[in-house]
Amino acid sequence: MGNESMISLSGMVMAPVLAAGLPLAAINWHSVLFLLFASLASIFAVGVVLADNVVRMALYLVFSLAATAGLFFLAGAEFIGAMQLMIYVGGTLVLLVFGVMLTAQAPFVSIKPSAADRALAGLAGSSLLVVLLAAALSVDSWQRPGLSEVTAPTATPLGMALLGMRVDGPAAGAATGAVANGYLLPFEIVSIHLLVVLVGAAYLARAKRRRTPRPIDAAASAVSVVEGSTRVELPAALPPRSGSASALVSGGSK
Amino acid sequence: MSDFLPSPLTLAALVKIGLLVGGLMTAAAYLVLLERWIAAWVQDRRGPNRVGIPFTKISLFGLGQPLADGLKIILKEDFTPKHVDKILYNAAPLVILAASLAIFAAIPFGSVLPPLNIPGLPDPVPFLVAPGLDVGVLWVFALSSIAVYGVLLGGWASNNKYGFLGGLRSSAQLVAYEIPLGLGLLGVVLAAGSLKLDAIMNAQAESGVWYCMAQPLGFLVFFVASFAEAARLPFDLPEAEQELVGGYHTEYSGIRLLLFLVSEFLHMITAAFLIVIMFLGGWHFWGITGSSQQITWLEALLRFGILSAKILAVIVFFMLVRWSWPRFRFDQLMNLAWKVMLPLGLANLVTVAAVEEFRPQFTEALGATTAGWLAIAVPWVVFFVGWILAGILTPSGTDNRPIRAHDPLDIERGIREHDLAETELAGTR
Amino acid sequence: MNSVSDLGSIVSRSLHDTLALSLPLFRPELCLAVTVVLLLLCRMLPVLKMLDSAWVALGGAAFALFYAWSDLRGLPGWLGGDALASRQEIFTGLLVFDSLTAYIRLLLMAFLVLYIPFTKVSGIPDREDGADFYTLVLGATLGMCLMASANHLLMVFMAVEMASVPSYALAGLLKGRRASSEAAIKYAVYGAGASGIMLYGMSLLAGLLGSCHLPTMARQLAGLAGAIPAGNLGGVEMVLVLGGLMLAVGLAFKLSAVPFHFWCPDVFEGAAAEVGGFLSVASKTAAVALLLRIAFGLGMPVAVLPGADSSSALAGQAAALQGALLGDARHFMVATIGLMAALTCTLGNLAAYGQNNMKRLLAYSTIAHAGYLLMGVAAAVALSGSHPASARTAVSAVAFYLATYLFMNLGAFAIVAFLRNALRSEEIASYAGLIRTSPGIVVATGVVLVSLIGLPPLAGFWSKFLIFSALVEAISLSAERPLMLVLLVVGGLNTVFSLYYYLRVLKVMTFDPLPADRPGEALSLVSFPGAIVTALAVPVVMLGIFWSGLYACAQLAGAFAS
Repeated sequence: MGNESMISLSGMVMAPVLAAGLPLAAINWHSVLFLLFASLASIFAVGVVLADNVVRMALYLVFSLAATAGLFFLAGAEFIGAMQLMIYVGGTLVLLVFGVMLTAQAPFVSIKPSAADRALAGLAGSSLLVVLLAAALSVDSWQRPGLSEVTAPTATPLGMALLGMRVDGPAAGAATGAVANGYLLPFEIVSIHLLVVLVGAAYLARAKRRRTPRPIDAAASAVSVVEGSTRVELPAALPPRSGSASALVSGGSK
Repeated sequence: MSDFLPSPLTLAALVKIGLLVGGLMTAAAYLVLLERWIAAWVQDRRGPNRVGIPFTKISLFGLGQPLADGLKIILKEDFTPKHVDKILYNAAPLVILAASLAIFAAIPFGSVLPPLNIPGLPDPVPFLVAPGLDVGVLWVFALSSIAVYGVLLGGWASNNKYGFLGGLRSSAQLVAYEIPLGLGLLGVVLAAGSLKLDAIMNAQAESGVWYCMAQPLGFLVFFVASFAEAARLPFDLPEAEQELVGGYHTEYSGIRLLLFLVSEFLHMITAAFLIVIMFLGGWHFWGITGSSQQITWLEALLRFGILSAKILAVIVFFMLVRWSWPRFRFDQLMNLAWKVMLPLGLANLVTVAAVEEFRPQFTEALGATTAGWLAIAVPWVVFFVGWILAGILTPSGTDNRPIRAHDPLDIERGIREHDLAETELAGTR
Repeated sequence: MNSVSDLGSIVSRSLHDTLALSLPLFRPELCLAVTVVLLLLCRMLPVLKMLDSAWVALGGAAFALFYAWSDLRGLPGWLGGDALASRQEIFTGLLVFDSLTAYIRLLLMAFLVLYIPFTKVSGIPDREDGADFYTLVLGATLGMCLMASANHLLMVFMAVEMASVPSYALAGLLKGRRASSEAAIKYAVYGAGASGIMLYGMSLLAGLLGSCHLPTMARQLAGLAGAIPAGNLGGVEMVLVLGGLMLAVGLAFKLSAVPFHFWCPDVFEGAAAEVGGFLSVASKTAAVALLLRIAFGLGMPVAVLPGADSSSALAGQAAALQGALLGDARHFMVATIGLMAALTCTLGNLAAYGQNNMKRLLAYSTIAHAGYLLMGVAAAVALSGSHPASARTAVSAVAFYLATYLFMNLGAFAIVAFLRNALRSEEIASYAGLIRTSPGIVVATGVVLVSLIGLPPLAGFWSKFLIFSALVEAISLSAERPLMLVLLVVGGLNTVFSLYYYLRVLKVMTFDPLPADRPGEALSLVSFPGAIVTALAVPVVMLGIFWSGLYACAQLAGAFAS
C-alpha cells in the first residue's frame, strides 16, 4: 500500500505544479520518488552547510527534514514519517526559526566562515563521507534493496510496543530466548528527562532580577559581569563578607 | 495499452486529486463572495450583486464576482520589492499553499462509492485521496503545523517591520494553539480508537452519538483552537489591519498575494472539514444516511451532500463570528491558550480516558442504555464545571493600567494632598 | 494479528514483567524521579516554598541510597557467598540488573548524599537557584544510573543524553558570567557532536547485526564471525570497525578520554567548582560502567538464562563457543581502549604541568585518572576470553578505583570550592602559605592529593595497585601481552610524572611565604565547610588502612563479568 498512498500524497504536495500527461505506468514510481526525495534531502542538507544566512539555513533544514519524512512514507513507515513532520518540521524547527528571527541581530544574521575554515571543514567532511560511503557500499546485504511488500502498515503494534507489549515479534521471555524489547521504559523515562531539561532551559533563559545577590557575585572584585549587552565593572572594593558563603570565583585574573 | 496507462488505483487517486483541487479552488473563490454577502448582511447594506455573465447584462446576483476578482488580481503587475530576500520571498506562498492543499490527502470528503466493479480497483472506493494512510490525523496535524512556515518566511523575507511583526505574532499564536488543537484531537482519537478520519466518522455513524455530544469540552477547545489556527477574526492578530497594515503579506501583490489569500481560505475550509468530521458526525445524519458501508448511489450522494451542508454551515458560522466579534489583544490570546484552553483540553482528555476505561464495567452493571447515557452525562458535567472554573479563576487578560494610589474621584483628598505637598515644599524653601 | 486470548496473555506477561520483576529492582531510580517532581511541586505551594530544596533533594537521595544499599545486600554473592553472576534483564531486556548495576548505583547515590550537603554549605546554588540546581543534578544522576544498567543501544543513547543535557545547563549555572556561559556552550556543542557521531555508529552496528539488544548483538556478531572464514569478512568488518569507533567517540567524550578531552579543562574552569566535582566524579563513574557494559556486552555473549533449566548447561556451552568466536572483536576493543588509555593518561599528566589554575589542574588530573581506569578496563576485556576469574579481578579493581576516586576527587573539588569562598581565588599561587593560617585544611589537601598520586598509606595506593596487578596478570595470561606491557610501563611512568604537579600545590601551600594582605584564618576544620572536607578526607585515610570491606563489595561488582 505504501506505494500507492505515497503517490497520492506526493501528488497532493505537487498539485500546484503537477505535470500531467506522462506515460505514468512506464515509470517505476517508487524509484522515481525515492530519487526525488533522497536528492531533495541531500541537496538541501548541502544547502544548510553552504548558506551564509541563518534564516536560509533554517529553511533548508526544514526542506531537508521534510524530504526525509517523504522517504519514511515511501518506505511504508507512515507513523514515523508523520512524526518526523510533526516533531521536527512542524515543532522543533518552527521554534528554531522563531528563535533565530527574534535574536538574529545584524552581525549574526550572516555567518561567513573564512576560506581556511571552509577548506578544512570540506576536507574533514568529504573524507568522512568517502569512508562512510565505502563502508556502506561494501556490505553485500545492503546493496540489494529488494522492493518488498509492506505488510499492513498500522500504528497499533507501535503503540503496543511503546506500552511494553510486542504483538509482532517473539514475546518477552519466550522459550527461544530471543527477547522482543518493549519500549515502555524509554517512553516513560523520557518524560522525566524532558521535565529536567525544561527546568534547565527555564533556568538559563530566565532573566529575572535576583532578589538577593548571589554569594559568588556579591564580592566580585574587578570581575566584569556581562548582563544583556551592557558590561558592568563592579567596584574593586570588597563588601564585608557574610558567613562562609560569601565568595568570588576564578576567571577574574584571566 | 497498459504500458501507457497507470494502474486503476493510481488513476483513481489522480482523479480524486483533480476533483478535490478543482473543487477546493472554486470553493475558495465562491466563499470570498459568500463572505462579502454575509458582511453586507450583517452590516445592513447591499453586497456585491452586479457582476454576472461577462459581456451581457445578466447579473445573476453577482455570481461572476469571483471570476472578476481573480482576473484582476492575476493580471496585476507582479511586483517584487527590491529590499526582499528573493528566494524566501518567492518560496513562502508556495510553501503555505502546498501545505494547505496536501492536508486534504488524508481528509475524506464523503463516504464511499457503491461497487464500481473495475478490475484492479478494490471496492468500495472511498472519497479519500490516500485511503491506505493509517495515520490520517497525524498527517493533518503535521501538515497544519507546516503551514506556519509560509507565514513566518513571508514575514521575514519581506524585510518590512509590519510583515515581520505579523510573522512573529502568527508563529507564536499558531504554536500556542497547536497544543489545545492536539488535545482536542486526542480525545476523539481515544474514543474512536483509530487515527483514520474515515474510521472516526464511521464510529460516530455506527453509535449515532456525535462526538460533540460525548465530548463537549473537547469540541469547545478544538473549535476555539481551530479558529486560532485558521487566524480567523477573534484571533486574526497576524494581519490585524489596524495595527499591521497587512501583516505578513504586506509586501506581496498580484499572484503571490492570491496564493496567500487562497491558502488562508483553505485553512478555514480545512478547519471546517475537521470540525465536522471529528465532532459533528461527518456524513452521518439520523434516519437519513444509514451507517453501513454497503450503499446505493442515492445514499452516497446523500452522504456527500450532508457532509457538504454541514461544512458550509460551519463556514457560515466562521464568517458570522468574523463580523460580530472584536479581536483579542495579544496577551489575552496567549492567556486563553495557555491558561484556559490547555487545562480544559487536559480535563477533556482525562474525562474521555476515564469514560472509555470504565464504560465496559458500567455496561455490565447497569445495562448498555444507562451506561451510554452516563457516558454522555459525565462529560457534560465536566464541561460545565470546567467552564465555570475557567471563568472564575482565569483572568482573560493582564491589567496593564497604572495602579492608582486612591480613587481618582475622591477629589477632596487629592486637593488635600496637593495642599500638603505645597506646604512641605514651602517649608523647605 | 494474534488472537484475543493471545493478546491477553501478552498483556498479563507484560504487566508481570513490569510490576513484579522490573520495578522492584528500579527503586533507586524511582526515588530520584519522584524527588525531581517533588522539587517542582514544592515551588507551587507557598508553605512548601519555605522549605529549602536542598533538604528535599537530600531526603530523596537518602531514600535512593537506602534502596541501592538493600539491592546490593540482596545479591546472592553478598558476604562471602558464592559470587555468581545474578544477571536479570528488566523492562523486557532494555536494562539489566546485576552486581555491577547495584554497585555503581550505590556509588552514585552515596555521591549524591555527600554532594548535596557540600553544595548546600558552599552556597553555590543559593535558595533561589537551589530547586533548579538539584533538579538538574538528580535528573543527570538518573541518567547515569541508566548508563550503568543499559542493555540496549536505545537505552545507551538515552542514558547518555539524560546524563549529558542537564550537565550542559549545570555548566552554565553561573548565569551572566562569561566564562560560565562559554563553558556551557562549548560543552553543549561538543556533546551534541559526539552524541551525533555515537548515534551514527550505533545505527551502523544495529543495521548490520539486526538488533539493538546487546546480548543479541553479541550472538549475531559471533554468528557473523563463525559463518565467514577468518580474515575474510570483507566489507562487514570495515562497517563493524567504523561503527565501533564511532560508538567509542561518544563514550570517550563522556570519559573525557584523549582525543576527545578538549572540552574538559575549559568546562571545569568556567563552571563552578561544585559542578566540576559533579562532572568529574559522577559522570566518570557512570561512563566507566557504560564502557564495561558495552565492552563485555559485545565481547562476551551471556548464556541465555534460566527458565529452561535443563538446557542451561547447553546454553552455557553455546555461549562459550560464541565467546571463542568473538576473539577478534575483543582484540579490537582491547586495542582501542588500551591505546586511548595510554594517550589519555600521558597527555592528562603532561598537560597538568603548566597549569596555574587549580580547577584546570584538577581537570587534567581527571583526564589522567580516566586513563588509569581505561587501563583496568582494557586488562579486564583482554582477560575475559580466556581467564574469566582474572577478568573478574580486573573489573573489581576498576570498581574499587571508582569508589576511592569518589572520595579523593570530590574532596579535592570541595577544598577548591571552600578556598574560593574564603580567598576569592582559584589560582594555585593564591594558596601561598596557607599552612600558617589554616593548617587543618592543608593537611586535608595533602591527604587528598597524595592519594590522587597513589602513595602507600592512602586509598589511592590500593586502587592503583589493584589496577597494575590486573595489568600484570593480563601480561602473564592474556594474548595481548605487548599492549599490556606498554600499558603497565606507561601507567608506572605516569604515576611518577604526576608526583610533581600534585606536590607543587602542597609546596605552595606550605613553603611559600604568606602574602601580607591575607586576612586571618582562611578556613578552619571546626566549621561546616571544615566538617565536609573532613568527611571526605577521612575515608581516604580509612580506606587506605581498612580496604578489605570495600574490596569485597568491589569483588561482588566484578562478578558481573562471568
